[in-house]
Amino acid sequence: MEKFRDIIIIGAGPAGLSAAVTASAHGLDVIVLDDQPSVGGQIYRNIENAGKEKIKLLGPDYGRGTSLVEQFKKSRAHYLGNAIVWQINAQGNVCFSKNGKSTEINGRHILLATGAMERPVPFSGWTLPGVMGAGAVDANFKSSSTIPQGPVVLAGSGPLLLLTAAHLATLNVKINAVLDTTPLGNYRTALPFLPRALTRPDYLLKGLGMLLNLQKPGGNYVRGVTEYKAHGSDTLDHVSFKTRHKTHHVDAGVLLVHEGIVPRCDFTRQLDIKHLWDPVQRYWYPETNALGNTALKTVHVAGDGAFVHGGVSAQLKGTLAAIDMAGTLGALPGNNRSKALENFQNDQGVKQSSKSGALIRNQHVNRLKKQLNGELAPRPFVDALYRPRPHLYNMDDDTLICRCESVTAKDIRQAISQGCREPNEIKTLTRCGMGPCQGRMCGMALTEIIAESINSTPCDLKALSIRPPVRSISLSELAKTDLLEHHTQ
Amino acid sequence: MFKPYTQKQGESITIDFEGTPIEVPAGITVAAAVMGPVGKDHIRRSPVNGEKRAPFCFMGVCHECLMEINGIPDQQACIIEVKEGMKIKRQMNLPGVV
Amino acid sequence: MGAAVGLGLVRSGAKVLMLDKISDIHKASKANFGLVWSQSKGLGNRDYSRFSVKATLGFKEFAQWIEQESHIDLELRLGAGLVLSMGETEHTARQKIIEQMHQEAAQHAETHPSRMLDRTELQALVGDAPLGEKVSGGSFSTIDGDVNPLLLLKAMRKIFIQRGGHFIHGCSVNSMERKNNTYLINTTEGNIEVPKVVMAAGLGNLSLAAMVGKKIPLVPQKGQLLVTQRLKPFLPFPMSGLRQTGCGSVMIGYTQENTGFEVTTTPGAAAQLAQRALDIFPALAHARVVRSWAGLRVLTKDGAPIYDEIEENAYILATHSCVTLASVHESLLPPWILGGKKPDDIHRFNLERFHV
Repeated sequence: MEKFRDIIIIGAGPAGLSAAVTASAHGLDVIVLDDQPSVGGQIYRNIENAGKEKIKLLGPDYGRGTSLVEQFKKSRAHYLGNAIVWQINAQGNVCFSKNGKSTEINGRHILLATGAMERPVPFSGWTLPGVMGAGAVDANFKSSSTIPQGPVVLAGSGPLLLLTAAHLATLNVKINAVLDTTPLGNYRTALPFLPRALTRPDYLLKGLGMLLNLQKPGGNYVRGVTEYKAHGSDTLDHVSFKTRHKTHHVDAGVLLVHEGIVPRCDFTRQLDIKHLWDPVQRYWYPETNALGNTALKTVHVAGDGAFVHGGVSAQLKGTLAAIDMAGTLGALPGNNRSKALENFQNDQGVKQSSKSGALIRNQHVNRLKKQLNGELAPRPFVDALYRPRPHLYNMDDDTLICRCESVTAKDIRQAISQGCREPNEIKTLTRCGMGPCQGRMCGMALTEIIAESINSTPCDLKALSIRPPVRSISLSELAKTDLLEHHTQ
Repeated sequence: MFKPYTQKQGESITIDFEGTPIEVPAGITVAAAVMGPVGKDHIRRSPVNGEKRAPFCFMGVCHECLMEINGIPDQQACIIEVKEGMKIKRQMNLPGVV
Repeated sequence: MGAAVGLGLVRSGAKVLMLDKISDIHKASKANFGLVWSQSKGLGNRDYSRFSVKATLGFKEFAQWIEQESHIDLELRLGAGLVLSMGETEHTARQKIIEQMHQEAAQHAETHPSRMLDRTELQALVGDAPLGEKVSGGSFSTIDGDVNPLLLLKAMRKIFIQRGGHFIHGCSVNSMERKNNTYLINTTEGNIEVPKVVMAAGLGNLSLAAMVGKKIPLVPQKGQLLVTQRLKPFLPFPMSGLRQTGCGSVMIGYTQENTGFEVTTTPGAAAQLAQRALDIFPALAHARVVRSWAGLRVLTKDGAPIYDEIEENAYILATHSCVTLASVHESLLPPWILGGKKPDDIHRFNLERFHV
């Protein structure tokens, strides 16, 4: 296996795939590593194996991925699926595991395109079998053509909640209730951002359509839900929820929860890259420039992993990052236009001219940026409308915060009352974050609970420190890792 | 917890679930198989308190879907596709060394 | 070091201000393996061997009152500790060391608490988990053991504060000078004037000592560690480089790398550590590593501590093994710092011995 590449891309979603297409079109040697069994990331999950019917059911938001994947397959980029990356460094060394064997390779540049995840928000009963993220509907339908068995209840807030409800309706899955926790006041506070969003009426109409669909008579759509809990002896049986002053109950076999989408920062944290805090959507994101470059010259981030802007934006950001990397690697032609660049631009419908390579590149970049700005126009409105409600992390004492180690909110609050204010210290005391998920599900809640207790915000606290292996690895596999140092002449 | 969207039979394969051969659609994830055609209401028990657990995120983040596959423990079932003859077991205890 | 000495000082009635800076590199306490260990210490240095044994023997009582006052369970285990030998060569070499330590002790009419075990004896002690082929046995001590080092630190700090000590977290010293029998210290949190200064900052002592014009012979040595997920209990006592903690996770350590002031964790070292763990217990093959980290050991030229007064009323304390020595740091150093005679146990742990 070739050990040295120009670019190693981690993640085969829209950002990773488009970056791979662009970079390889510039003659660069690219490899894409992804932990899923096929390309597409989450949004275009398993699209290679999706038949016409499935694509028709899910609509253009999914179907859009076919041409991107086709381009990727036609490109000279290499791809390894089911490849789990567990350590990277600023020198471009990447260790990954595939089929029980670990290998270390090197890239002159690394592009992190690992995307985003649903915001993990603990609540009473969330570990009961039957409770899952709303994304599980698409994940399972796209990868395995399965649908949830009822009674199905949806709870939470955000575009994905509406999208999931729409998909369930398309798939003829009866929904017992949709419990919308979007604070009614958000509709007011998001208004200032509406004018800019109106430049993308298509986007807004889609969302409005989904909302109206939910509020059809017979549908059980409840607004202004302030809290929900899952109940059952050892698996989910029913859901209780509060509106204004009343508590209600609804039967449930599957509870789909969604409270927003947040970037996955595993690798940017492992590299100790600086992260910024978005106070509207309440999440950390890595600090990058407009082309996705971090403070580490050879590391870029693209896609939802840089900031959550959706699939189309991810694709554009991937392309931009690839162009930037290509420039740094000297793959963008000077005055001699390469055939590869010509072909690429022909595909983009760009008229060839006699301008210099740098000028062409700048024009292309500016065009992409303009396109990206168009995609981003409705985001401030959407982000404000669906900003997390203030008491999202004010859970009961007996709520499990750390699922892996069964650490409760009470355990954490006790540690705080003993004077601990640092997430890593509380982790040591309580074991919160020490299980197999390595803090992915509890880290945010831990920081928010500390912030709430000491009257601060998470941006003033350190996040849980992430150390390799970023995904757990067995001792036997680790011992036999095929390291780069084994290959020196 | 999950059922097939369509009754149309595609290609199917046979897996070994805790000693029992079970027919499942080819190409689905192990997690989808266990929570679907195999018909279980949990995918493992928590090694800390023995509670039943099932996958939460279905995309490789939550690590609730850890199963023993072909003798190797702690495999993320939601990102692994079923294969003919695959031996799948739920993990019900703290792993031992002896 | 600072926590133990600070605690002893407040218990002796002194008014103490403890400054702790934020550092990724200078926190040996964050990478400690947790051993309470005497059997490997002080070959060719009776003072150090004796000192370590004294500290280890005193640990039980020390831990007891710490636990009582802090209400923190330190997860202390004493009474068994093993230094592994992998292969006959290592085993013979280890045997020679143990014999020599016994001889050195005998010359002072003392004993050294360790003996050699062969493979069969070791397997019997370990129990059901089968030892790897390369394990030849090791040296065993009936007084050594392990403790949770992070909880120990937390507990000592907690009692320090409870007993009137003042602790400022995240405070760095910018400069220090002596004027009219007082130390004027400029820190990131403001200026301080004190009659006595105790430098217990590990490798940070290098820059602190330089502020008063002194050079200290300390060097960093990197140690990398791994920890696994929880496993069913199988290892009832700590081994050199392999111990199972109270919750079942297995700690695997540690490298000894001379790479200067850096604490990166490398896959190469991790792979080596993993292989060693498998050489010891092959059945750990499927155990999953969830974290790796590294720290810098505070090493002196001869491996024995430095406790010295470098300027009038300015004390420098530096050593590795601060977990093992916590009990004696807490009891023996404060009276000396407060003006008493330097105890015989530590008399020779001075800076002068390095000036040839």
